[in-house]
Amino acid sequence: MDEIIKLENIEKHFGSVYANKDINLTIKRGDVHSIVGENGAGKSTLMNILYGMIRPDSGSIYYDGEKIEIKSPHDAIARGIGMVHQHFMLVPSFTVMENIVLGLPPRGEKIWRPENFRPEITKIMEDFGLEVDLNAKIQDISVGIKQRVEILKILYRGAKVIILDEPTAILTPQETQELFSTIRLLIKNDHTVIFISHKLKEVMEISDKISALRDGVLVNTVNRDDVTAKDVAYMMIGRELEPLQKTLEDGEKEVSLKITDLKAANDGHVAIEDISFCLHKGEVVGVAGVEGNGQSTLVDAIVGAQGTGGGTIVFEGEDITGCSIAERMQKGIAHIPEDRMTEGLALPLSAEKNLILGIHNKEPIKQKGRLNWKEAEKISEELIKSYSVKIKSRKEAVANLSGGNMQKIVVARELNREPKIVVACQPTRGVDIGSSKYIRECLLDVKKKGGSVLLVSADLDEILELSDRIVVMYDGKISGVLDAREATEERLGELMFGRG
Amino acid sequence: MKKQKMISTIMIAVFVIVCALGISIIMLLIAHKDVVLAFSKLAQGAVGNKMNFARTVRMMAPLIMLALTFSVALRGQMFNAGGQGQFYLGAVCATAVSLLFPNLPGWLLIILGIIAGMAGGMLWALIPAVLKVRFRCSEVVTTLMFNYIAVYFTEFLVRVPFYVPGAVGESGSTANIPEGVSLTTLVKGSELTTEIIFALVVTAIVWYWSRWTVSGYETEVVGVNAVAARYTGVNVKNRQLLAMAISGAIAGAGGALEIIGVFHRFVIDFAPSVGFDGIVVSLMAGNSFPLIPVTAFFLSCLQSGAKTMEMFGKVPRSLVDVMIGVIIVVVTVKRLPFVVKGTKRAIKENKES
Repeated sequence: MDEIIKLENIEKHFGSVYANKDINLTIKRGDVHSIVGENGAGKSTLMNILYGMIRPDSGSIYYDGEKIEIKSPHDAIARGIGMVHQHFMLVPSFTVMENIVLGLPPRGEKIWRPENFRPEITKIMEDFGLEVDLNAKIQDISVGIKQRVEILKILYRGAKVIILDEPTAILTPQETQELFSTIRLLIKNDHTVIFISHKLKEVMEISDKISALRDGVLVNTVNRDDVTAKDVAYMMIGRELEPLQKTLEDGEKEVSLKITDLKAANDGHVAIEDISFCLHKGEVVGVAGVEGNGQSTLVDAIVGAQGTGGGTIVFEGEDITGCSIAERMQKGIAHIPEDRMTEGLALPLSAEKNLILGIHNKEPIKQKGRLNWKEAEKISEELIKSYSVKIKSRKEAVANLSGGNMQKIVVARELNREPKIVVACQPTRGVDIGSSKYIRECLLDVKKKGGSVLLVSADLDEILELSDRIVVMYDGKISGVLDAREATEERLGELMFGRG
Repeated sequence: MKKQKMISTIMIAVFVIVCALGISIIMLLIAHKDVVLAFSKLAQGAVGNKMNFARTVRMMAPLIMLALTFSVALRGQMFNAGGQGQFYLGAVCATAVSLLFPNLPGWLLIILGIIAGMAGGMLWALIPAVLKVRFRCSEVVTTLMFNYIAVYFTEFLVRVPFYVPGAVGESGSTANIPEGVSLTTLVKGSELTTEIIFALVVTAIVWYWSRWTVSGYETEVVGVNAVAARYTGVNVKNRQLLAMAISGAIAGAGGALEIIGVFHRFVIDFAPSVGFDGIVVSLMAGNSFPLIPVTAFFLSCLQSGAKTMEMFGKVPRSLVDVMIGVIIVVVTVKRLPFVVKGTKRAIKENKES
């Protein structure tokens, strides 16, 4: 039997929206089968159906030619289908070993002893080249290793088909390569891998087959060798995507923001130290680094959300180290926060109410001490139109919008103030390709108009695409500053690990 | 959109009431009681004649005030469970003003009494609020505990500084406030005074505040997402303090109005469940200010009709407590599947038309 999994006419809708519509997909044994698609295209829903997290409305699933019903992840694992989620499901204070065997019945004795499982786990580790220290605690290991633990966990439970949900989103280029060699070993050992991603480069590198989903419909399944990355992009978004035009400029430019010896603590621990760099007018500076190396603290210190423990922040010649968030906003610093849901938007409120946030206490919205909703209407209608936010009306709650449109609301609100500096954190995370491109264009537009952008992103492609200079952070310090022209992924990767 | 939101809020309120009635009917049937008789007596007691109706409307006033207390605080993400204590503080302050300066004209004492009541309630709310924003003490716990302090502190005031020798003092009451310090009676022979008009005006003011003012808007954003508010330059702590201050002031004014309008003296623990009932009214209104008088009317119907139901309907008045209990359970269910569906349909129809 060549086909290991066959999905037939799978349908699932949430409310009136189809997440999956009449999906037919065959997965061959021993393949790396990529599922690509923009956010909200239905990739995760489809995989969650296969893994038993969601029940489909109709359609059937065949495993090895036999029709099966997957009611829960338990059933899926029993059948040999395992999934590594985007967000890890590990207990931080337990060791790697304890996490792997968590939930399994005791073996031999009545008492549950993780040690009894050790030989088997070691064997799997050797077979698949998944080096992990079994005695280390999860809280002490890096993201890449945690992912390995997750893979070990499902392999140990006998998974033959492994679903990886956006596995590279959180990895450095080097870690990605390690993951790929693991995937290759898995294939060699007669496993099947379903790889979910929207990073075309990676998809082209690792896959045998590629299936594209768009708006819940399976557009096509193709052999990797028959297509180019451009074809796949076309399958995903249904139209051509022009590359961004970035102009690198030389010559001395005026300093806009100057940070000197900045130091800040987070929960009593020093989070950033000895941070010094400049942001010039008409420049995009990228801040690269594995997440959790002090970027968020740096951003909070710049926008004023957190106090500093030393050093100065000078904006256009004025020391703003002690200024409040509101004062800094007033002076022209805008902030696109890392997480639009928890930091950027008041979700249950309307788009209108979200769009006027920050300008609500000034003319024209504030008039004679009261809010002028007529003006708010004018401004928000304008912004919704010019940023082409897909929304029913300005009164609709932003919670109902897709990730890309939510992000557009944040970007529209922040850029509408015509800031001199934009601190953009992960501006396109979880945003569909079309909107991502639009948001990136907006940022480049800020630069064109003589403003400056500090771009903090975990997406190296984005950093390389937009930045004039790149600051790399490692362990709360700057491990290197590169000019965009000399920056390569490899060089950045080294600096991200503090090897430079 | 506004309309749809209103529809869904009203639908939830209706659903809650239907559930409460439904479960009570089941209970009555199990107990072999005459359902029709019980409910007709309940209705009669609530709105059956002029006097009963006047009593029901009179009981709305403190419910509205304390529901606003809870709703306003919740706007700023503060869970003010201390309306009761703030209400007592307001009441005792208003009484004190009248007792201390009995020679002032009545109208002035009314104004001063209400102001003193607001100040007292505000103070009582601000202490937990400051503890919350400065030291992150849970305001749920502190406001709740402040209720007990308020009961015993007001008892102390009644028993020591404002003690009047004799039966009145021993029964736990202050002396009566001067004759002139009272509100106009709307229905002769009832306790219904212009207090209810005050309560409705306060509702309107609060609604205006939430919709048209900068601080009202900022408080709403803080209540929904304090982090986002902070990142966009809103002073979150200030707004939370403001919400609590307004909230406490409303409760205090409610207490003062009860003294001036109805009781004319402070009796220890004179309305022991009003704070809690206010929370119920607020929850039923789903955090919508204009809906508060409506839900307050419903609850006061239940409470006002309960006695008649017990007397003539042969059903203990605690049935009303059961209904209130059911209401709370249903209101706390965040997702009512069919209500959600119904709302969606309503939205769809609205769009088509």
